[in-house]
Amino acid sequence: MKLLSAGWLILGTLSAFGAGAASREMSEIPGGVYRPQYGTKDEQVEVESFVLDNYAVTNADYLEFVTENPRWRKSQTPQIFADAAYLKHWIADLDPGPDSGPEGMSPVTNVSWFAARAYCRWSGSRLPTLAEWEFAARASESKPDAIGDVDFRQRILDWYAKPAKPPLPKVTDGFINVYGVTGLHGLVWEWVSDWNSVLLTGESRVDAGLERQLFCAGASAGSADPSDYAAFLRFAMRASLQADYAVGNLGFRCAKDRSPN
Amino acid sequence: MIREACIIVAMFSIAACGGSSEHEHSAHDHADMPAAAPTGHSIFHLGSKWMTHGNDEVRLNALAGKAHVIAMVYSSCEVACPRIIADMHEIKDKASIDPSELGFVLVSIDPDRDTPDHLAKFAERTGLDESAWTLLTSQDDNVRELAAVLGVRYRRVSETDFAHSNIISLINTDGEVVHQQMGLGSASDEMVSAIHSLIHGA
Repeated sequence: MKLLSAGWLILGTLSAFGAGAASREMSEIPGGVYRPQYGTKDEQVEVESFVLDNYAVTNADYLEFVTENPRWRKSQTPQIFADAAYLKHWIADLDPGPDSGPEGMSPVTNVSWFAARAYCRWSGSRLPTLAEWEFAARASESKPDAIGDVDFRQRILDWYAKPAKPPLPKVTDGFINVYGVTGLHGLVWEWVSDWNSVLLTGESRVDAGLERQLFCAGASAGSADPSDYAAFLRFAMRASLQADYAVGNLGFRCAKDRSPN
Repeated sequence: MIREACIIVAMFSIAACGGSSEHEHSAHDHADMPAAAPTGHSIFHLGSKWMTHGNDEVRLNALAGKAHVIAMVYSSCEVACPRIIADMHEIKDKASIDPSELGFVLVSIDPDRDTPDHLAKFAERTGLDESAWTLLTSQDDNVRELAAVLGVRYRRVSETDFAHSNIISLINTDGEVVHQQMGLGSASDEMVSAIHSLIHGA
Protein backbone atom coordinates (compact mmCIF):
# COMPACT_ATOMS: atom_id res chain seq x y z
CA MET A 1 0.00 0.00 0.00
CA LYS A 2 2.77 2.42 0.96
CA LEU A 3 4.70 1.67 -2.19
CA LEU A 4 1.63 2.03 -4.31
CA SER A 5 0.77 5.42 -2.92
CA ALA A 6 4.36 6.57 -3.26
CA GLY A 7 4.23 5.53 -6.89
CA TRP A 8 1.06 7.47 -7.36
CA LEU A 9 2.66 10.47 -5.78
CA ILE A 10 5.42 10.50 -8.36
CA LEU A 11 3.05 9.85 -11.23
CA GLY A 12 0.49 12.30 -10.04
CA THR A 13 2.75 15.13 -8.99
CA LEU A 14 3.30 17.91 -11.44
CA SER A 15 6.14 20.34 -11.14
CA ALA A 16 6.06 23.09 -8.53
CA PHE A 17 3.68 25.95 -9.19
CA GLY A 18 3.20 29.34 -7.69
CA ALA A 19 4.94 32.66 -7.73
CA GLY A 20 6.24 32.77 -4.20
CA ALA A 21 5.60 29.36 -2.80
CA ALA A 22 8.36 27.32 -4.32
CA SER A 23 7.67 24.41 -2.03
CA ARG A 24 4.17 23.97 -3.37
CA GLU A 25 3.48 20.93 -5.44
CA MET A 26 0.22 20.16 -7.15
CA SER A 27 -1.44 17.03 -8.46
CA GLU A 28 -3.87 16.54 -11.25
CA ILE A 29 -7.30 15.30 -10.25
CA PRO A 30 -8.93 13.63 -13.26
CA GLY A 31 -12.53 14.78 -13.52
CA GLY A 32 -15.57 12.70 -12.86
CA VAL A 33 -19.06 12.65 -11.49
CA TYR A 34 -20.24 12.29 -7.91
CA ARG A 35 -23.41 12.54 -5.94
CA PRO A 36 -23.26 15.48 -3.54
CA GLN A 37 -24.28 15.29 0.06
CA TYR A 38 -27.13 17.73 -0.38
CA GLY A 39 -29.97 17.46 -2.84
CA THR A 40 -31.86 14.59 -4.30
CA LYS A 41 -30.67 11.12 -5.16
CA ASP A 42 -30.67 11.97 -8.83
CA GLU A 43 -28.53 15.04 -8.47
CA GLN A 44 -25.06 14.52 -9.90
CA VAL A 45 -22.20 16.93 -9.90
CA GLU A 46 -19.75 16.81 -12.73
CA VAL A 47 -16.24 17.91 -11.93
CA GLU A 48 -13.81 18.73 -14.71
CA SER A 49 -10.20 17.73 -14.41
CA PHE A 50 -8.29 20.20 -12.29
CA VAL A 51 -5.05 20.62 -10.38
CA LEU A 52 -4.90 20.77 -6.58
CA ASP A 53 -2.19 21.65 -4.06
CA ASN A 54 -0.68 18.53 -2.53
CA TYR A 55 -0.58 20.24 0.84
CA ALA A 56 -2.50 22.86 2.73
CA VAL A 57 -0.88 26.30 2.62
CA THR A 58 1.57 26.59 5.53
CA ASN A 59 2.33 29.45 7.88
CA ALA A 60 5.71 29.74 6.13
CA ASP A 61 3.99 30.04 2.73
CA TYR A 62 1.63 32.62 4.16
CA LEU A 63 4.52 34.63 5.60
CA GLU A 64 5.87 35.09 2.06
CA PHE A 65 2.47 36.33 0.98
CA VAL A 66 2.08 38.93 3.73
CA THR A 67 5.70 39.99 3.32
CA GLU A 68 5.00 40.87 -0.30
CA ASN A 69 1.48 42.15 0.35
CA PRO A 70 1.45 44.50 3.36
CA ARG A 71 -2.29 44.96 3.01
CA TRP A 72 -2.78 41.38 4.25
CA ARG A 73 -0.64 41.75 7.38
CA LYS A 74 -2.69 41.32 10.50
CA SER A 75 -2.37 44.94 11.54
CA GLN A 76 -3.29 46.23 8.07
CA THR A 77 -6.18 44.15 6.80
CA PRO A 78 -9.53 45.99 6.68
CA GLN A 79 -12.03 44.44 9.10
CA ILE A 80 -14.46 43.71 6.34
CA PHE A 81 -11.98 41.14 5.00
CA ALA A 82 -11.07 39.43 8.28
CA ASP A 83 -12.40 39.51 11.82
CA ALA A 84 -10.35 40.18 14.94
CA ALA A 85 -9.12 36.57 15.10
CA TYR A 86 -7.19 36.94 11.83
CA LEU A 87 -3.73 35.34 12.31
CA LYS A 88 -4.21 35.55 16.05
CA HIS A 89 -1.68 32.74 16.61
CA TRP A 90 1.04 34.88 15.03
CA ILE A 91 3.17 36.98 17.35
CA ALA A 92 3.48 39.93 14.99
CA ASP A 93 2.81 40.96 11.39
CA LEU A 94 5.85 39.11 10.10
CA ASP A 95 6.43 36.67 12.93
CA PRO A 96 4.38 33.48 12.82
CA GLY A 97 5.79 32.36 16.20
CA PRO A 98 5.89 28.91 17.80
CA ASP A 99 2.26 28.01 17.08
CA SER A 100 3.05 27.94 13.39
CA GLY A 101 4.83 24.62 13.82
CA PRO A 102 8.40 23.54 13.07
CA GLU A 103 9.71 25.87 10.33
CA GLY A 104 6.20 27.23 10.00
CA MET A 105 5.11 23.96 8.41
CA SER A 106 1.75 23.73 10.15
CA PRO A 107 -1.20 24.69 7.98
CA VAL A 108 -1.98 28.38 8.25
CA THR A 109 -5.30 28.86 10.02
CA ASN A 110 -7.15 31.85 11.47
CA VAL A 111 -7.47 33.10 7.91
CA SER A 112 -10.70 34.41 6.44
CA TRP A 113 -12.11 33.41 3.07
CA PHE A 114 -11.04 36.77 1.63
CA ALA A 115 -7.48 36.20 2.82
CA ALA A 116 -7.37 32.64 1.48
CA ARG A 117 -8.70 33.82 -1.84
CA ALA A 118 -6.17 36.65 -2.04
CA TYR A 119 -3.33 34.23 -1.29
CA CYS A 120 -4.38 31.87 -4.08
CA ARG A 121 -4.67 34.73 -6.55
CA TRP A 122 -1.24 35.99 -5.60
CA SER A 123 0.20 32.54 -6.21
CA GLY A 124 -1.40 32.34 -9.64
CA SER A 125 -4.19 30.00 -8.65
CA ARG A 126 -7.63 30.04 -7.04
CA LEU A 127 -9.51 28.32 -4.26
CA PRO A 128 -11.00 24.96 -5.24
CA THR A 129 -14.75 24.89 -5.66
CA LEU A 130 -16.81 23.01 -3.14
CA ALA A 131 -17.50 20.33 -5.75
CA GLU A 132 -13.81 19.96 -6.60
CA TRP A 133 -12.78 19.71 -2.97
CA GLU A 134 -15.42 17.16 -2.09
CA PHE A 135 -14.59 15.15 -5.19
CA ALA A 136 -10.88 14.99 -4.33
CA ALA A 137 -11.68 14.21 -0.69
CA ARG A 138 -13.43 10.97 -1.65
CA ALA A 139 -10.07 9.40 -2.43
CA SER A 140 -8.19 7.05 -0.12
CA GLU A 141 -4.60 5.88 -0.54
CA SER A 142 -5.69 3.39 -3.15
CA LYS A 143 -9.03 4.43 -4.64
CA PRO A 144 -10.42 7.62 -6.20
CA ASP A 145 -13.76 6.95 -4.53
CA ALA A 146 -13.49 5.26 -1.17
CA ILE A 147 -16.58 6.75 0.40
CA GLY A 148 -18.23 3.36 0.16
CA ASP A 149 -15.55 1.85 2.45
CA VAL A 150 -16.66 1.66 6.04
CA ASP A 151 -13.08 1.80 7.33
CA PHE A 152 -12.23 4.90 5.35
CA ARG A 153 -15.33 6.72 6.53
CA GLN A 154 -14.62 5.71 10.11
CA ARG A 155 -11.06 7.00 9.96
CA ILE A 156 -12.32 10.40 8.86
CA LEU A 157 -14.95 10.50 11.57
CA ASP A 158 -12.40 9.53 14.19
CA TRP A 159 -10.39 12.57 13.21
CA TYR A 160 -13.44 14.84 13.42
CA ALA A 161 -13.89 13.67 17.01
CA LYS A 162 -10.36 14.78 17.96
CA PRO A 163 -9.82 18.38 19.09
CA ALA A 164 -7.17 20.36 17.22
CA LYS A 165 -4.64 22.10 19.46
CA PRO A 166 -1.81 24.36 18.32
CA PRO A 167 0.73 23.85 17.02
CA LEU A 168 -1.05 21.79 14.41
CA PRO A 169 0.77 18.89 12.74
CA LYS A 170 2.90 19.58 9.68
CA VAL A 171 1.01 19.68 6.39
CA THR A 172 3.04 16.70 5.19
CA ASP A 173 1.67 14.50 7.98
CA GLY A 174 -1.20 12.25 7.13
CA PHE A 175 -1.98 9.88 4.32
CA ILE A 176 -1.28 10.61 0.67
CA ASN A 177 -4.35 9.92 -1.40
CA VAL A 178 -4.37 8.17 -4.74
CA TYR A 179 -3.94 11.46 -6.57
CA GLY A 180 -0.91 12.51 -4.51
CA VAL A 181 -2.77 14.92 -2.23
CA THR A 182 -2.21 14.93 1.54
CA GLY A 183 -4.21 16.25 4.45
CA LEU A 184 -7.70 16.68 3.00
CA HIS A 185 -8.75 14.73 6.08
CA GLY A 186 -7.08 14.72 9.44
CA LEU A 187 -5.51 18.17 9.53
CA VAL A 188 -7.83 21.19 9.33
CA TRP A 189 -11.10 22.17 7.67
CA GLU A 190 -10.48 24.01 4.41
CA TRP A 191 -12.07 27.00 2.68
CA VAL A 192 -13.57 26.52 -0.77
CA SER A 193 -14.46 29.26 -3.24
CA ASP A 194 -18.23 28.83 -3.03
CA TRP A 195 -18.72 27.80 0.60
CA ASN A 196 -21.62 30.25 0.68
CA SER A 197 -23.56 28.13 -1.77
CA VAL A 198 -24.61 26.03 1.22
CA LEU A 199 -27.90 27.45 2.46
CA LEU A 200 -28.71 27.15 6.09
CA THR A 201 -32.12 25.80 7.01
CA GLY A 202 -34.32 28.51 8.37
CA GLU A 203 -32.17 31.32 7.08
CA SER A 204 -35.13 32.47 5.11
CA ARG A 205 -38.62 31.16 4.70
CA VAL A 206 -38.31 30.34 1.07
CA ASP A 207 -35.04 28.48 1.44
CA ALA A 208 -36.11 26.56 4.47
CA GLY A 209 -37.39 23.59 2.54
CA LEU A 210 -34.50 23.38 0.16
CA GLU A 211 -31.83 22.27 2.56
CA ARG A 212 -33.92 20.39 5.01
CA GLN A 213 -32.06 17.25 3.99
CA LEU A 214 -28.88 18.80 5.23
CA PHE A 215 -29.57 18.76 8.90
CA CYS A 216 -30.29 16.11 11.47
CA ALA A 217 -33.77 16.21 12.96
CA GLY A 218 -34.60 12.92 11.33
CA ALA A 219 -33.76 14.28 7.95
CA SER A 220 -30.53 12.42 7.41
CA ALA A 221 -32.42 9.61 5.72
CA GLY A 222 -33.37 12.09 3.03
CA SER A 223 -29.86 13.15 2.22
CA ALA A 224 -28.33 11.76 -0.93
CA ASP A 225 -25.77 9.61 0.83
CA PRO A 226 -26.71 9.14 4.48
CA SER A 227 -23.67 6.98 5.16
CA ASP A 228 -21.25 9.81 4.50
CA TYR A 229 -21.54 11.66 7.79
CA ALA A 230 -18.19 13.35 7.37
CA ALA A 231 -19.43 15.17 4.26
CA PHE A 232 -22.56 15.98 6.22
CA LEU A 233 -20.44 17.58 8.94
CA ARG A 234 -18.48 19.62 6.43
CA PHE A 235 -21.68 20.99 4.95
CA ALA A 236 -22.96 21.88 8.41
CA MET A 237 -19.67 23.59 9.19
CA ARG A 238 -19.73 25.59 5.94
CA ALA A 239 -23.29 26.66 6.64
CA SER A 240 -22.10 28.25 9.88
CA LEU A 241 -19.35 30.34 8.30
CA GLN A 242 -19.16 33.97 7.31
CA ALA A 243 -16.52 35.21 4.87
CA ASP A 244 -14.63 37.25 7.46
CA TYR A 245 -14.41 34.46 10.03
CA ALA A 246 -10.90 33.48 11.02
CA VAL A 247 -11.00 30.17 12.82
CA GLY A 248 -8.23 28.17 14.47
CA ASN A 249 -8.92 24.90 12.67
CA LEU A 250 -9.82 26.29 9.26
CA GLY A 251 -7.13 26.65 6.60
CA PHE A 252 -7.02 26.25 2.84
CA ARG A 253 -5.17 25.04 -0.22
CA CYS A 254 -5.31 26.32 -3.79
CA ALA A 255 -6.33 24.83 -7.12
CA LYS A 256 -6.08 25.59 -10.82
CA ASP A 257 -7.83 24.68 -13.99
CA ARG A 258 -5.91 22.02 -15.83
CA SER A 259 -3.68 23.70 -18.38
CA PRO A 260 -4.86 22.84 -21.88
CA ASN A 261 -1.68 21.15 -23.10
CA MET B 1 -21.12 5.89 15.57
CA ILE B 2 -24.25 7.18 13.92
CA ARG B 3 -25.42 8.73 17.15
CA GLU B 4 -22.06 10.34 17.75
CA ALA B 5 -22.05 11.94 14.33
CA CYS B 6 -25.53 13.26 14.88
CA ILE B 7 -24.50 14.90 18.10
CA ILE B 8 -21.65 16.62 16.34
CA VAL B 9 -24.02 17.84 13.67
CA ALA B 10 -26.30 19.16 16.38
CA MET B 11 -23.33 21.01 17.85
CA PHE B 12 -22.56 22.55 14.51
CA SER B 13 -26.15 23.57 14.09
CA ILE B 14 -25.98 25.39 17.39
CA ALA B 15 -22.72 26.99 16.35
CA ALA B 16 -24.46 27.98 13.14
CA CYS B 17 -27.28 29.66 15.00
CA GLY B 18 -24.78 31.37 17.26
CA GLY B 19 -22.95 32.53 14.19
CA SER B 20 -25.93 34.15 12.58
CA SER B 21 -27.10 35.91 15.70
CA GLU B 22 -23.58 37.19 16.14
CA HIS B 23 -23.83 38.49 12.65
CA GLU B 24 -27.02 40.37 13.43
CA HIS B 25 -25.29 41.68 16.47
CA SER B 26 -22.43 43.10 14.55
CA ALA B 27 -24.87 44.69 12.12
CA HIS B 28 -26.37 46.35 15.18
CA ASP B 29 -23.03 47.56 16.38
CA HIS B 30 -22.48 49.20 13.04
CA ALA B 31 -25.79 50.97 13.34
CA ASP B 32 -24.54 52.54 16.54
CA MET B 33 -21.38 53.81 14.95
CA PRO B 34 -21.29 57.34 13.65
CA ALA B 35 -21.12 57.50 9.88
CA ALA B 36 -17.75 59.24 9.84
CA ALA B 37 -14.80 58.61 7.50
CA PRO B 38 -14.82 55.31 5.58
CA THR B 39 -13.98 52.48 7.95
CA GLY B 40 -12.59 49.00 7.71
CA HIS B 41 -16.12 47.69 7.31
CA SER B 42 -16.87 49.47 4.05
CA ILE B 43 -17.91 47.37 1.05
CA PHE B 44 -16.02 49.93 -1.03
CA HIS B 45 -12.89 47.94 -0.23
CA LEU B 46 -14.08 45.48 -2.87
CA GLY B 47 -12.34 46.49 -6.06
CA SER B 48 -14.67 44.62 -8.41
CA LYS B 49 -16.07 46.17 -11.58
CA TRP B 50 -19.77 46.07 -12.38
CA MET B 51 -22.03 47.00 -15.28
CA THR B 52 -25.22 48.93 -14.62
CA HIS B 53 -28.44 48.38 -16.54
CA GLY B 54 -27.59 51.68 -18.18
CA ASN B 55 -24.44 50.02 -19.54
CA ASP B 56 -22.02 52.03 -17.40
CA GLU B 57 -18.97 50.39 -15.89
CA VAL B 58 -18.76 51.20 -12.17
CA ARG B 59 -17.07 50.12 -8.98
CA LEU B 60 -19.04 49.77 -5.79
CA ASN B 61 -17.73 53.09 -4.52
CA ALA B 62 -20.00 54.63 -7.14
CA LEU B 63 -22.57 54.12 -4.38
CA ALA B 64 -20.64 56.42 -2.02
CA GLY B 65 -22.22 59.60 -0.74
CA LYS B 66 -25.76 58.22 -0.66
CA ALA B 67 -27.46 55.50 1.37
CA HIS B 68 -28.66 52.42 -0.49
CA VAL B 69 -30.98 49.49 0.01
CA ILE B 70 -29.48 46.42 -1.69
CA ALA B 71 -30.73 42.94 -2.52
CA MET B 72 -29.38 40.12 -4.66
CA VAL B 73 -31.80 38.60 -7.16
CA TYR B 74 -31.96 37.28 -10.71
CA SER B 75 -34.27 38.53 -13.37
CA SER B 76 -35.71 35.22 -14.50
CA CYS B 77 -36.71 34.41 -10.93
CA GLU B 78 -40.41 33.76 -10.70
CA VAL B 79 -41.09 33.24 -7.03
CA ALA B 80 -38.86 34.85 -4.42
CA CYS B 81 -37.39 37.76 -6.36
CA PRO B 82 -40.60 39.59 -7.27
CA ARG B 83 -41.41 39.35 -3.57
CA ILE B 84 -38.05 40.76 -2.52
CA ILE B 85 -38.58 43.61 -4.93
CA ALA B 86 -42.10 44.07 -3.57
CA ASP B 87 -40.59 44.24 -0.08
CA MET B 88 -38.16 46.88 -1.32
CA HIS B 89 -41.02 48.86 -2.85
CA GLU B 90 -42.78 48.71 0.49
CA ILE B 91 -39.65 49.99 2.24
CA LYS B 92 -39.32 52.73 -0.35
CA ASP B 93 -42.93 53.84 0.04
CA LYS B 94 -42.90 53.76 3.83
CA ALA B 95 -39.54 55.47 4.15
CA SER B 96 -40.53 58.10 1.60
CA ILE B 97 -37.02 59.46 1.11
CA ASP B 98 -35.98 61.44 -1.93
CA PRO B 99 -34.01 59.35 -4.46
CA SER B 100 -31.15 61.83 -4.14
CA GLU B 101 -30.63 60.56 -0.58
CA LEU B 102 -31.64 56.91 -0.81
CA GLY B 103 -31.05 54.59 -3.74
CA PHE B 104 -32.21 51.03 -4.39
CA VAL B 105 -29.87 48.45 -5.89
CA LEU B 106 -30.55 45.01 -7.32
CA VAL B 107 -27.49 42.84 -7.88
CA SER B 108 -27.82 39.87 -10.20
CA ILE B 109 -26.64 36.45 -9.05
CA ASP B 110 -27.11 35.19 -12.61
CA PRO B 111 -24.54 37.15 -14.63
CA ASP B 112 -24.63 34.64 -17.48
CA ARG B 113 -28.13 35.67 -18.40
CA ASP B 114 -28.45 39.06 -16.75
CA THR B 115 -26.57 41.23 -19.21
CA PRO B 116 -26.97 45.00 -18.84
CA ASP B 117 -29.43 44.89 -21.69
CA HIS B 118 -31.43 42.12 -20.08
CA LEU B 119 -31.52 44.05 -16.81
CA ALA B 120 -32.62 47.23 -18.60
CA LYS B 121 -35.56 45.33 -20.08
CA PHE B 122 -36.34 43.86 -16.69
CA ALA B 123 -36.32 47.34 -15.10
CA GLU B 124 -38.65 48.62 -17.76
CA ARG B 125 -40.98 45.63 -17.58
CA THR B 126 -41.29 45.86 -13.81
CA GLY B 127 -41.53 49.64 -13.71
CA LEU B 128 -38.36 50.41 -11.74
CA ASP B 129 -37.91 54.14 -11.72
CA GLU B 130 -34.55 55.13 -13.17
CA SER B 131 -33.89 57.87 -10.60
CA ALA B 132 -34.12 55.47 -7.64
CA TRP B 133 -33.08 52.05 -8.93
CA THR B 134 -29.74 50.70 -10.09
CA LEU B 135 -29.31 47.16 -11.40
CA LEU B 136 -25.84 45.65 -11.39
CA THR B 137 -24.21 42.65 -13.00
CA SER B 138 -20.61 41.40 -13.03
CA GLN B 139 -18.62 38.16 -13.19
CA ASP B 140 -19.42 35.15 -11.03
CA ASP B 141 -16.41 35.65 -8.82
CA ASN B 142 -17.31 39.27 -8.05
CA VAL B 143 -20.91 38.34 -7.36
CA ARG B 144 -19.78 35.58 -5.00
CA GLU B 145 -17.57 38.08 -3.17
CA LEU B 146 -20.27 40.71 -2.74
CA ALA B 147 -22.65 37.98 -1.59
CA ALA B 148 -20.06 36.95 1.00
CA VAL B 149 -19.89 40.51 2.29
CA LEU B 150 -23.66 40.86 2.48
CA GLY B 151 -24.13 37.39 4.01
CA VAL B 152 -26.14 36.18 1.03
CA ARG B 153 -25.87 32.50 0.14
CA TYR B 154 -26.88 31.15 -3.24
CA ARG B 155 -26.51 28.13 -5.43
CA ARG B 156 -27.67 27.33 -8.93
CA VAL B 157 -30.17 24.50 -8.58
CA SER B 158 -31.21 24.09 -12.21
CA GLU B 159 -30.65 25.55 -15.63
CA THR B 160 -32.95 28.45 -14.77
CA ASP B 161 -33.17 28.64 -11.01
CA PHE B 162 -31.16 29.50 -7.93
CA ALA B 163 -31.66 28.82 -4.28
CA HIS B 164 -30.73 31.99 -2.45
CA SER B 165 -31.18 33.74 0.85
CA ASN B 166 -33.54 36.65 0.94
CA ILE B 167 -31.68 39.45 2.63
CA ILE B 168 -32.21 43.15 2.11
CA SER B 169 -29.30 45.26 3.33
CA LEU B 170 -29.10 48.95 4.13
CA ILE B 171 -25.70 50.52 3.51
CA ASN B 172 -24.75 53.99 4.60
CA THR B 173 -22.93 56.63 2.60
CA ASP B 174 -19.58 55.05 3.55
CA GLY B 175 -20.57 51.62 2.29
CA GLU B 176 -21.09 50.01 5.68
CA VAL B 177 -23.93 47.59 6.21
CA VAL B 178 -26.00 49.16 8.97
CA HIS B 179 -29.14 47.07 8.92
CA GLN B 180 -30.40 43.85 7.35
CA GLN B 181 -33.90 42.53 6.83
CA MET B 182 -33.98 38.74 6.61
CA GLY B 183 -36.68 36.64 5.01
CA LEU B 184 -39.46 37.40 2.60
CA GLY B 185 -42.40 39.49 3.67
CA SER B 186 -40.76 40.42 6.96
CA ALA B 187 -42.08 43.45 8.75
CA SER B 188 -40.30 46.43 7.27
CA ASP B 189 -40.72 48.74 10.28
CA GLU B 190 -37.21 48.16 11.61
CA MET B 191 -35.69 48.75 8.20
CA VAL B 192 -37.71 51.91 7.75
CA SER B 193 -36.67 53.28 11.12
CA ALA B 194 -33.04 52.34 10.39
CA ILE B 195 -33.32 54.37 7.18
CA HIS B 196 -34.84 57.31 9.01
CA SER B 197 -32.22 57.33 11.71
CA LEU B 198 -29.51 57.05 9.09
CA ILE B 199 -30.79 59.91 6.99
CA HIS B 200 -32.39 62.22 9.52
CA GLY B 201 -30.22 61.22 12.50
CA ALA B 202 -31.71 59.47 15.54
